[in-house]
Formats: sequence, structure tokens, C-alpha cells
Amino acid sequence: MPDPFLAEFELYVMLAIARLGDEAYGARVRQQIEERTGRPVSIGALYTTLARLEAKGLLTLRTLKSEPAHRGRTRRYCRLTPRGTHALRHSATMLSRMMDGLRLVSEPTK
Amino acid sequence: VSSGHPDRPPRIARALLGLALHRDDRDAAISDLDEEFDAQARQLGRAASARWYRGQVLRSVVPALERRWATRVPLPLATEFRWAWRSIRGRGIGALAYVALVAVAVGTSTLAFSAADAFVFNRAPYPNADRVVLFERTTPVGVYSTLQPDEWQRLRQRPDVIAGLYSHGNTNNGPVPVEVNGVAEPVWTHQVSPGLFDALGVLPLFGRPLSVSDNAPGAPAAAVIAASLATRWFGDPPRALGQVIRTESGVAHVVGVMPAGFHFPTRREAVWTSLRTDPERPSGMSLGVLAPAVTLAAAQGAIDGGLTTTEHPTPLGALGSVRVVPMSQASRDPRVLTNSGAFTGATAPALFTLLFGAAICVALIACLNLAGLELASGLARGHVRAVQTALGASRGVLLRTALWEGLLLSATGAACGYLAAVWGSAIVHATLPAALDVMLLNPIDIDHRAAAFTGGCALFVWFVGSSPLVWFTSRSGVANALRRSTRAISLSRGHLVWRHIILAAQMAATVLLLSGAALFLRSYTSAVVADRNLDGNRLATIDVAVPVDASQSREERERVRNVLHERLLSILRRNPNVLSAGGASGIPPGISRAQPPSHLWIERHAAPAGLVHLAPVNGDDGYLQTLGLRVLAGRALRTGDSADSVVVDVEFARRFWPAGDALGARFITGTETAPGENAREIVGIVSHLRPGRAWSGQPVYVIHTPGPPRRLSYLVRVQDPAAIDKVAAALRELAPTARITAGFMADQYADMDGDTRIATGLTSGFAVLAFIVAIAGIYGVTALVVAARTREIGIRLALGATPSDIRRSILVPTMRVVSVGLAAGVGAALLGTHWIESLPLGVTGAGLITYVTLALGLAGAAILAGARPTRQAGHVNPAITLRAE
Repeated sequence: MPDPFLAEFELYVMLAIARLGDEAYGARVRQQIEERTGRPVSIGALYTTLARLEAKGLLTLRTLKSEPAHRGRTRRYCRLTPRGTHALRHSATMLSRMMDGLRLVSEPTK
Repeated sequence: VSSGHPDRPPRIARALLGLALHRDDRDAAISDLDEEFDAQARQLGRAASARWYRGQVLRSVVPALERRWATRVPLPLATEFRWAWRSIRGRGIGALAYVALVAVAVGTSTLAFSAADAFVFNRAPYPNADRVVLFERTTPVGVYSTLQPDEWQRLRQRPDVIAGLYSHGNTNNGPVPVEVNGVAEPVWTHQVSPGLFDALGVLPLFGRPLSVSDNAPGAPAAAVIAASLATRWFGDPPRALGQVIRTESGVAHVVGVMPAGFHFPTRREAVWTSLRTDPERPSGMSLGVLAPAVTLAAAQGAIDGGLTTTEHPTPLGALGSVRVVPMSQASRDPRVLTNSGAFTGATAPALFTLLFGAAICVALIACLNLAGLELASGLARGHVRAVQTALGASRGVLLRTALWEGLLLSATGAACGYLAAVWGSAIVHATLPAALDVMLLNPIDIDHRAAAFTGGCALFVWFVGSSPLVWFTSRSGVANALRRSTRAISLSRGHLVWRHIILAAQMAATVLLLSGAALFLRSYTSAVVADRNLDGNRLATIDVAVPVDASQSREERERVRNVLHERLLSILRRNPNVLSAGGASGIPPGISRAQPPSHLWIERHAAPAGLVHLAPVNGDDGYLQTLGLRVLAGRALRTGDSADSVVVDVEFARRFWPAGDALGARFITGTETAPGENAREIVGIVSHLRPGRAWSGQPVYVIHTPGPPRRLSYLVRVQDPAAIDKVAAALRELAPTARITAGFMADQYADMDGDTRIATGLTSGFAVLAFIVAIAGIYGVTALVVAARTREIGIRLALGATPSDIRRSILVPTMRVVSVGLAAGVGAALLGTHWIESLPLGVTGAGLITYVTLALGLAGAAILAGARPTRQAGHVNPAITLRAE
């Protein structure tokens, strides 16, 4: 199976999940992306992306319903699959290769 | 919208998100947002966190729906859907126009149909309404449900056709005081023959129905009352059983309580007493129950075969034939149920036929515009379809995509129209005069079938308009379609002719509707404002209903009432807020509008002089002055005048005595069977007072008759309208157990004109809608013509034509079509005027000048509507246009 490529937002989601580890669930992932990128993330877009990544086999989702510790709220925890970890590493490597030796300078002002 | 609870996120936003999210994600995503909402509320406060929450929901709906559709909808279908959505977005303001047009069509037709359903088709809500029949007789002056004594007897002898015959009626022409526990209240009562409610299929909720034993000699009088009244009077409906109520005719025991929502014959009746009938003669209106297995046609055959007769001569001509009508259908015309006539009931069918026609007109104009709009935008989007074909879309895919597009637009438009109809019906209900409201046995419900039907029609119009274009695009070849510029639309001659016919029809219908609205507005304004001849805002009527002491004899009761009358009148006259007061009954003057007119004979003349309705008013010497009427000739009535003396309205005198010799003249009015015995002598002529109108279309005149008022009713002119409550309170001190009702003449006249007011409001509303839609149509057709002729315009400009030549060449043909439509509309309006005038709505015709003025105004608006696209035509750059070719 060829290595899956990740779109920009998918990459952010995977990175946030990897960073949060066992604490990766919807709200935390959303906050993590917003805090680190400054990009507003809607919960609808996040769950749509999570479903897509799960369908690609890059992560697993596990629902914990009405936990008393969480004020009876339902949480959907995410965990990267080995294939997901591989895809993340692959995308990061590709990105790093593309950036290698590149100096981004702003356009001279007239 | 926030819930107002400190810890809860906005309720509606949360519910919306729940609807949009996929089932698997719903709980977790909402929990996530709730958790963050809590955290934000602690840091930033609830208002800021609620704003954040709503923003989250708004941004989440589209991706959430994408996920739902991606998992549910098969991929090809999703693509079609996406293309349809893109196409809608590509339409821009055109999509909004489409939605608005569908909304107008659905809203108006749904509202009109719902109103018509309630007023015209007003089905009687009784289980046996299909087996209970009325005997409708069309007489020269209207439709009535009465049988002659010989007919009644013949029908009774044929139980194989009519299994049961019943009567019902009401001798009071208004509510009567009914006393319970020492407190009197005006209540509408109705007399029904025993067994009638059983025949209708409705039994009392508690107790028993009226039975034949209630009419036995010496048996106590029995009454059945409405559930609402039982609750109000006795707290709990079962407690009403056995209680005593007192009416003017005596004491009655409550034997039954009818279920809530039961009305007969209108919504106002709340007490039903037993009608003591002679088995050999009908009394009041007649109802029959078809024998088992007898069909309506068989019953009609038996009636025509000799059970009824048309031979009865009356002053108005021979009686018409009797038609057997099941109650479920007949009640659309409440006259046959009530005869005594809530005035507006009779006009309802005519009124709502008119309004329904107006609504259909608006819906038709909207649909014509839809077709035009679709034709124009469909041609313009041939290019897009060609690209889709090039990408491999089959003809089926294109047609289905077009169908999705229409479905989305029509559904949105239908939803908006439905909401508008809901609001509209609430407005109609709120503005309904009380007298019309009571006639409705069923509420004005929004008819879902009508909404679905019109929405379906819009979709059909759209599909019929667009599918040939899709077909044409897919057949003409991709290369050809792509080669054609999107701006250069080919417009065939046939297509243009159709567009012009649509435009002319729209203009004609709009002129017709505007003329109708003008007619109603004019008549309503003249009836309500100009012709009242009194200051109705300061003139009030006060009715006093007092408990009846059944132990007293009739004479004793009369004497007590007269004493009370004098004392009440003296209190009124001493009241500082009252300028003048008089005792009077029959104010405001009106007649039962379903009542047939009488013939009037001027004494010494053999032939009757004409058909009239006379509205009698009687009272003491104070009421003429209070009304502000002036004695123009002769004198006012005074104590001691004979019962035959009469003071007449000046308009009555002018009609029958044009030479001015009315004073001292004598006249006789005819009853149904013969001219009356007693001639009335005119002793005075007073200024005009407008009475209520009659259904028969014959004029109504006020006549002032001698004698004290029959009820404790008073006419007062107050200094300040706000003081009327104080005046009523002063009377209440004297009669604490009495029920005192006060109302201003202006409101009472407004009630009398309620049907015309509703017709005026709705017709005007429909006319304004039609105007807007038609103007949008002119804009659309001009824009289409400009778009279609861009290439030609470019060439003509390149060959030396000036922009004003171009503008003229666009505007003149369009305005020629508009003029044809306007002329047709004025012609139709002139013809329609005769019809509207013949309806019993008190509408009088407007002249040709009014219609022509309206048409010219519409023409001006049409020129303005076409101005923008025409101006654009003048600005076409020939170089750019020709290069695009």
C-alpha cells in the first residue's frame, strides 16, 4: 500500500493527537490546534476530518459515554495507528525535505 | 437565542448542531463544545462564551453536513447534489428571486385556501354530518332552509326516506340575560327539538341530551349548556347538572353539558333549550336524517316526486324547489343553518370566492415569472452544462442535477411561503370581527395540502421550464455549446413571443388586482369614514342585563324594569362625563342581513313601490339628540304617539316621495304572505343615519318607531372616550348583579363592516404582491432581451447607432407589450366591476378614469423597472462584444 499523504489540516490533527497522547479527545485536539497555529477550528470540521482519517486507517476512535469523572459527558478519544504514525513521519519528512535549503525571504518593497 | 440559564449553552444553536452532526459524532462533539463553553464562561462570562458557541455552531454546520451526506449519499448522487448546489450559488440574486417567487405563490395560495376552507367550505364538524340533511330552498331573495307545513307533514309520513325530522330556531335576535347564582350574563341561547343532537351524532359529555319527556305538560324546563359555560359558572362541568338557570322565559334545569368544541349552529350559542314543536308543523329551520340505505339522490328524487311543492305564492313570487343537501356540504353557507343570520355569514362565500381568485391570480403571476426566470437563466447556463457534459455527465445526470436544484430552491421557497402563510393567518384571525369569528365552526388552520400542492406546482413549472433546455444543451453537442459565449444567448422568435404573452398576461392580471383593491379601498373608506354621519368614537351603547325574578308575573317584571330604566337613565344624565344620554334599542341600526326584503306599498297605490329593508330604532326623546340627528321636517316622536307613527330617514323619504310630500304620507310593508294590516304615518323626517347592509342587496333604511326601548339599552355621548368605564361603573353601583357591557359605535360599525375590511386588506395585500412580482417580471424580461441581443447591439453600435437608439429599440417593444397587457387589464376590470358590485359586499364601482390612472401608474413603474437593463444596453462596448465572438 502506498504511503498516504496528509492534507494540511489532517497533518495538524495528527500532530495534535500525537502530542496529547492518551488525553487526545475532540475538545483538547481542537484547542491544541488553535493555540499552536492560531487558526480557528470548528468542531464540525474536526470531527469530519477525524472520521476521514479513521476511514483511511490512520487513527482509531474510542467513545467513552457519560463518564462521571467528566460530568457525565461523552468523549471520543483518538489514538494513532502504526500506519498513522508512519504516515505522520512520512509527511513530516517530506515537508522537511521540501524545506531543506530553502530560504524564504519577503519580497522587496518598492 | 439563549436559554437564560447561567450554565447552559444557547439552546437553539445546540439543537441545530445536533441536527447537523453525524449520529456517531453527535454526543461527543456536543459534549466537547459544552465543556469548552463551561471553561470559557468561567473566564470570559456567559455572554462572550455564548457568542463563541454560536460561532462554533455556525462554522460547524457545513462540514458536519458534508460528513453526513458523504456517508449516506451514494457518490454519484453526492456529485449531482454538489453540482446542483454550485449551480444555485452561481445564480446569485437569481436564486433569491426564485425563492421569493415560490414563497409568494405558496404563501398566498395557502393562506387563501386555508381561509376559504374555514369560511366557504367550513365543514360541519359533526359525526353524522353526511346523513343529516338540510332542505335548501332558493327563493327570489336568497336561500333558506324552511319547510312549509304541508311539506313537513308529507315528509313525516315517509320514514323510509327521511327517518327523522327536527327543528331548531331562535326567537331572540341577540344574547339574552341568563342568571346563575344571582348574577346575570348575556348569553346566546338556541332552541332545538329533542333528539337533534343525537341525530348529529354528538352526545353530552355529562348528563343527558334533551328528550321528548322535557316537553311533556308540567315537566320542568330543561337546558343543555356548553362546557366552557359550565366551567365558568360552576367550576367543574359535572357540577352543572341539576343546577338552575333563569332566563326571561323562566327557570330551566341543566340536564347536560356538551363537550368542549361543540358548536351549533354557530360558535356563539352556549345554552340550548327544548323547542316545543307541534308535530304537525315545522318551527324554525328544518333538518332531516336520511333513512338507512337511502342515498342523497334517492331522497332528492322523492322530494321532487311530490314531497315538496313550489306552488306557495308569496309577495316575492313562487317558492323555489327544495334541494336536499347534506349538512357537511351545506354549512359552507351558514344562512341555511342560522337563517336569523349573523350578517357576515351570508357574504362569506362570495367574499372568499373573490379572495381565492385574487390569490390564484398572484400565484399564477408568480409561476409565470418563475417560468420566465428559469427560461432566461437556463439559457445562460448552457455553457456550464456543456462543461459538465464534457466531464462525462450523461443526460440523465444533467436532468437529475436540474431536478435537485429545483427541489432545493422550491423547498426553500415553499418553507418561506409556509411561514408567511402561518403569520398571515394569525393576522387574519386577529383582525377578524367578532361577528364573523362566531360563524366559523372550524378554526382557520393552515392547509398543508394547499402548501404542498403549490410547492409541487412551482417545482413542476421549474422542471418544465428547465428540462427542455437541459435536453437541448446535451443534444446540441459539447463543442458547439462551449464555442458559444455565455453572454450571447440565442433567443428564438417563438421564445420571445411566449415571453411577451407571459408579460402581457401578468400586466393584465396586475391591473385587475390593483383595480379590485382600489374598488374595495374606495368603498370601504366611503362606507366607514365618510358616510357614518356621527362621531362614533364618542358615542357609546351601554347594555344592562339584569337577573330575572321568575317568581314575579310578567307585568310585575315589566314594572320593575321600567323603574330601573328611569333610575339608570337619570344616573347617566347626571354623570359629569356624559354629554347626553337616551334610552334606545336597535342602535347601531341594522337588520339580519340574511332576512328577505319587504315590499313597500304607498297608501292609495295598488302596486308596490319597491323592495326595502327597514331597520327600526326606538327609544325615548333623548336618543335622537344624542345621535346628533336633526329633525328636517315635521317633528320627533313624543310620548303618546300612536304605534303607527313613524319618523323616517331623509334618504327613505327622498326615494319614495321625490316630490317632497313625504310628511303625513302613509305606507304599508308586506310580509311573506300578504301586505301588512296597519299603515304607518310619517310624522317627521330626520337626517341620514347609516344602517348595516343587507345580503339581498336591497337598500336598508332606518325608521324611528315610538315606544320605550325593549331592553335596558342606552346611547350615551361621552366627553372623553376613556371615561366610558367610569360611566359603566356608576351604573354598576345601582345594579351590582347586572352584567353591563359598553361599546363604542365606531367599533360596532367596524364589526358590521368587518367582511369588507378583510376583503379590502387581503385584496390590497395581494395586489401589492402582484405589483411587486409583475415589476420584477418586467425587469427580468428586459434584462433577458438585453442579454440576448448583446451581439446585435454591439454590431449596431459599431455601425453608428447611438446609445439612445439602442435604448429605444429595447424599451419600445417591451412597453408595447406592457400596453397591450394594461389595456386588457382595464377591460377586464370594467367587466369585473359589474360582478363585484353584484356581490353583497357594499362595493360600488369606480369609473374608467380610476382604472386608466392605475394603468398609467403601472406603466410608469414598468418604465422604471426596465430602465436599468436598458441603460446597460446603451453602455455595451462594441469592441469587447465583437471580440468575444
